[in-house]
Amino acid sequence: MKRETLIQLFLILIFFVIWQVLANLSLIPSYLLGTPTGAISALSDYLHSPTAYEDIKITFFEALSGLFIGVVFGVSLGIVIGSSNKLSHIFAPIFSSFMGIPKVVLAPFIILAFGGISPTSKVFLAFYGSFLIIFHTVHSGIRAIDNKYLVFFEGYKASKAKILRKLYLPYSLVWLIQSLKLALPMAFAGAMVGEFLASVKGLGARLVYYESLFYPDGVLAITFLIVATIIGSVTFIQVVEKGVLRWRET
Amino acid sequence: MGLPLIKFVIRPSLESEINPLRVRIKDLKARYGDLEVIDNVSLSAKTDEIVSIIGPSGCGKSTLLNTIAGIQKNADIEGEIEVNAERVSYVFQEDTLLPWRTVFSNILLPYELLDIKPDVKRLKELIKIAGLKGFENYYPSRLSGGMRRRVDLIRAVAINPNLLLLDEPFGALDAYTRIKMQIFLYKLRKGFEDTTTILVTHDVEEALVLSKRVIVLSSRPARIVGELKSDGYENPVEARSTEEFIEKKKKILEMLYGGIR
Repeated sequence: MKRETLIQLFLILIFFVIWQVLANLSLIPSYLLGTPTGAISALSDYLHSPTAYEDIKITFFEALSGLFIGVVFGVSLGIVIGSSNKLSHIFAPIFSSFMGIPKVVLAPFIILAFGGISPTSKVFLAFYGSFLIIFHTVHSGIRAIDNKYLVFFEGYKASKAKILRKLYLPYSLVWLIQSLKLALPMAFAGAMVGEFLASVKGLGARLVYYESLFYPDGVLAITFLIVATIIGSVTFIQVVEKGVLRWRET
Repeated sequence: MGLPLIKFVIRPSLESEINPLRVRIKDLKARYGDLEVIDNVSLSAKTDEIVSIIGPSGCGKSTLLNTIAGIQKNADIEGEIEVNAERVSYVFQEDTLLPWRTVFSNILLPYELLDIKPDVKRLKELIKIAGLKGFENYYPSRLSGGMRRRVDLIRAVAINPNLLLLDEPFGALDAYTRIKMQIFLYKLRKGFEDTTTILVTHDVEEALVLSKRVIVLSSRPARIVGELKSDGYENPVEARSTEEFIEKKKKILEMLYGGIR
C-alpha cells in the first residue's frame, strides 16, 4: 500500500477514535450521534437479521435495474441525437434543462406517477438519476468525435450500421465508463430517496425506520453500509476502466 | 446555389480494360456559397499512373480530391466526374487510426468496411516492409508519428485500391521523416501496378520525386496553369541534386509563381 493511503486511513481512524473517546467521556450526546462501536455492533446485528439480505437485495435491484435502463437509453439516445446536428439542436437543450432540476424535487411526483410504494417508482428514480448523466456525457462525446474518422468511413462507403458498430459504439464506451462513475452513485441515491419517501423495504426504508426509532447507531450502521456499497462499486468501475481502456496508455 | 449539375459515375474496374482512364474530370467548378474554389479544371489519370497535384495552400486541392472520392458535401459542384474504381483509399494529412484498435486490427478495418476477406500473408509482408514487425499488437498511442503514418499508408494500400488518394500525406512530418516516408511510399508503390495514385501536395520536390506527372494549379479559384512530366526517382535523396531535377523544379516554381503573380 502506498504511504499516502496509509496516512489517509490513519487520519480516518483518528477521527473515529476521537468521536468514540468524546462519547465515552459524555462530551458529545451519544443518544443523538451514536458511537462508532455502537454502530459496528448495530451493523453486525443487522447483517445477521433476515431482513438485511432482503433490504440489500431490493435496493440493489432498484438501483441496478434503473441504471441498466439508464445505460440503454442514455447510450442509444446519446448516439442517435449526437450524430445528428438537427436532433442535437432540438433535444440537447431539453435534456440539459432537466439536468438543472434537483432530482429530489421531482421524486414525490415520480412516486405518485410510477407505482407508489412498489419498487417500480424507485427503479424509475434510479433510471432518471443515471440517465441524464449518461446521456449528457455520451452525447457530448459523440458531438466531439473528430470529423476525419467519419470522412474515412464514408470514403470506404461504410453503411450506417457499420459506422455505428465500428465507430460510434466503441467510441461511446469511453464516455459511458466515465459517466458511470457519477451515474452509479446517482442510481443508488435515486433508489434510496424513493425508499425514504414511500416504501417498506430496502436500505433507504431501513434508514428512515431507524431514524424514526431514534436509534442513531442503527442509522450510522446503515449509512456506513450504503457508503461502502457506493465506494465499492465505483472502485469496481475503475478496475473495469483500466482493463477496457488499456489502449489509452502511452 | 441551385441544383448541382453533376454527372457522377463510379463503375467497377472491369470498365478500365475498355477505358484506360481511371479518373476523368471535365470542366469541374466548385464553390462554397459565394467563394469560388475550383474554376474549370479538367484532368485525367490512367490506370497505374501516379499524378501529383501541386498548388498554393487553400487553392482548392482538397476539395478536388474530396470530389473525386465522392465525399464532397458542402460545396456546390458542376462538371463531369468519372471515376472507374471499385476500391478507393484516401489518406489524409492526419492519420485516422482508431485508437482502440491495435496496429493489426486497424489494418483490417478497410477489409471489414468493404466486406472483403483479408489476405493475411500479404498483410504480414506489408507490415515487414513498413518496419512494423513486432508492433502488430501495439495501440496507436504507443507509436511514433512516422510509425503511425506507415500504418496509415499500408492500411490504405493493403486492399489493393484501384485509386489511392493522398492529401498532403507527409505535411505534418519533420523534414527527415518526410524524406524517409517518400522512399517508403516509392517502395510500396512498386508492388501495385493496378493502382492509380493522386497525390496532393504543396512540396515541389515531393511531387517530382514521387510522380510521373505533375499538375500545377493556380491560387484560388484553382485553374490548371501547367503540367510537367517527371520520371519518379528511385533514390529521392540523390535525385534532388541532379541537374535535370533542379531544372524541373525551377519550371514548376515558375508556373506556381506565375500563377499567383
